[in-house]
Amino acid sequence: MDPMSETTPVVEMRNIRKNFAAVQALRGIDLVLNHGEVLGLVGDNAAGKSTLMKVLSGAYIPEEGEIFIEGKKAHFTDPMHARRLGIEMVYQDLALANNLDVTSNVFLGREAVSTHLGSFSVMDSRRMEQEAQRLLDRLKIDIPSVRLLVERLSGGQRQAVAITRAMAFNSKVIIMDEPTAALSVAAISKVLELVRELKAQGASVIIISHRLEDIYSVSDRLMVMRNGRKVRDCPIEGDIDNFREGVVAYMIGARDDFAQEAKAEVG
Amino acid sequence: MSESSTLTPPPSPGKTTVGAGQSMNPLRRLLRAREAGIFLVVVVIMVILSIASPNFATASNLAIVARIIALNSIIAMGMTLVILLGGIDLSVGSVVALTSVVVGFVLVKLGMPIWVTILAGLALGALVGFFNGLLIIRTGVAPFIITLGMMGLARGLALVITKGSTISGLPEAYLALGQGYWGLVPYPVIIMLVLAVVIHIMLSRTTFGRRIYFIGSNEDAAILSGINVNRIKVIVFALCSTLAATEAVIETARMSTAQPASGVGYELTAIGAVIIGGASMSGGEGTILGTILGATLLGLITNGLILLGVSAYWQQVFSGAIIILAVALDTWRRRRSG
Repeated sequence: MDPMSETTPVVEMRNIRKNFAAVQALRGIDLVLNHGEVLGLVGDNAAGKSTLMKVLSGAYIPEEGEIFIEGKKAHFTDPMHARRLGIEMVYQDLALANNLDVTSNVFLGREAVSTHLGSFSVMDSRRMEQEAQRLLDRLKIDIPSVRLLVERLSGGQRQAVAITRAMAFNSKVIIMDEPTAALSVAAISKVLELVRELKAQGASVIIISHRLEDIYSVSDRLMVMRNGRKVRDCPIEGDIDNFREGVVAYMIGARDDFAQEAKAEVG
Repeated sequence: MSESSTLTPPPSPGKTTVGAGQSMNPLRRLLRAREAGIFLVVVVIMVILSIASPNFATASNLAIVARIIALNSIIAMGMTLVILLGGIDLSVGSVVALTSVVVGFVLVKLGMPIWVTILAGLALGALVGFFNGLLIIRTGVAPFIITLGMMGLARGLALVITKGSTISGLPEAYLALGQGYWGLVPYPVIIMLVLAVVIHIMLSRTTFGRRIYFIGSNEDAAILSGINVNRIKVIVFALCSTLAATEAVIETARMSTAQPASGVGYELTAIGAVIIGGASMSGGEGTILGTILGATLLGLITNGLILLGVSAYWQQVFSGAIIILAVALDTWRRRRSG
């Protein structure tokens, strides 16, 4: 669909399975994300969306399944590993340190260093501040100063900092878990603009949201999950009311024809 | 749009008053800092004591106070690191006792050179802290419980080694460490200042320090961003105990004897200094400067009570009450600011 997309998907997940004790959270999920694509991921609570994304970002290790990044097979052992391959996750609860400033939060865990001394390396604060400011400018984010403590920011600004952090190291894939939850209407539109900006700058985005209108407005494609399975995967088209009705039907299980379609294809 | 809005919309760019006041100007930041308030209280207490007691502002008394404050600060700096992580270390007092008797044992009974003794004392501290950290990350039990256990364990070992008695007969050269002066300044004060500068730089300028704040502020986030949280925890607990051992090495020299009963209640003074200094018990907030000011405040109050002839029993009551007050005020302030 997208003229920007190259032939090899940036992410391909095949037959991912993940159990928590007796609970099968993911029951053989496939996911494809193309270059420069925004994929909306929806599903009711406990459908497995967040689990799937934690697998992709290296926080969970699946029992079964394969992950390919730009066609190369990857075995993630921890989040650092996934990050090195350009996959960044913006967590639902933001994962920011509230009493540190914007710069510190953008660089958390990956500080710029002027003198290398292993664990006790000296940070290059100036460079980090300049770089943080440059990133905010590039993503057109309005925050008065990179020295502001994050706890002083509004919800929308905090979300923007979290996204900037994900974008700071030329990531290929940015995963956003409920980026618009608990935000005001004005802040939501800012975050959605930011998603479009990321896409415009060549990143691929996976966005999890309960707000179907958000998914509709920024995504190229939609994937619906239910009970740890994929029940729908289609481009976003048509008007929003039909879209919403269709999606909800799959989310609650009123329609479930994906497996049959797939079987029909194979047969 | 059914979504409820719990947060205010972002302010318009470049016009926010918060931004203008909060950032840039370092002098302004200094004056607004929490430390400025404590510094003011310290000055006021010093003025009051100078007026109330003719013995306060004398060279000999000031040297005594400075030495006590320095020793308390050394332990409190280690406690600062642990509290910044969101933990607590109740074993520091017992580490002081254990280190003290081991120092006495190595120096007097084994007749080892001073430098070997000091290294042995510090290594012992590091080892105890390492075990604290290891037990905390392996068992997942709260630092409060683990270090409470270590508090009993280390104190018990100190008593076992000496069979409850003290060790005296430490060489003169060693005693200088606690009793000597450089000009008018006692050695312990110089040692404390050097350590303070080093730890301050570590906290504010190195990746290690940044990660301590990060873990204290949001541990789950630190784990998710791939930081080796366990490793940092073990190092921090080891540092805290090593600093307690450093204090013990100096205090043993100051007292001229190694005592298994030393260090009782030091954890309370250290925690008090850290909290009065503006740190948050829940982690992620606090500075070395604040801690030293907090230790200074407690030291001055203790000294003042002695000079004013208040009984030693009451001094503990006062110290305890001040610490409770500081924590209560801090909690109240935080709740108010949301």
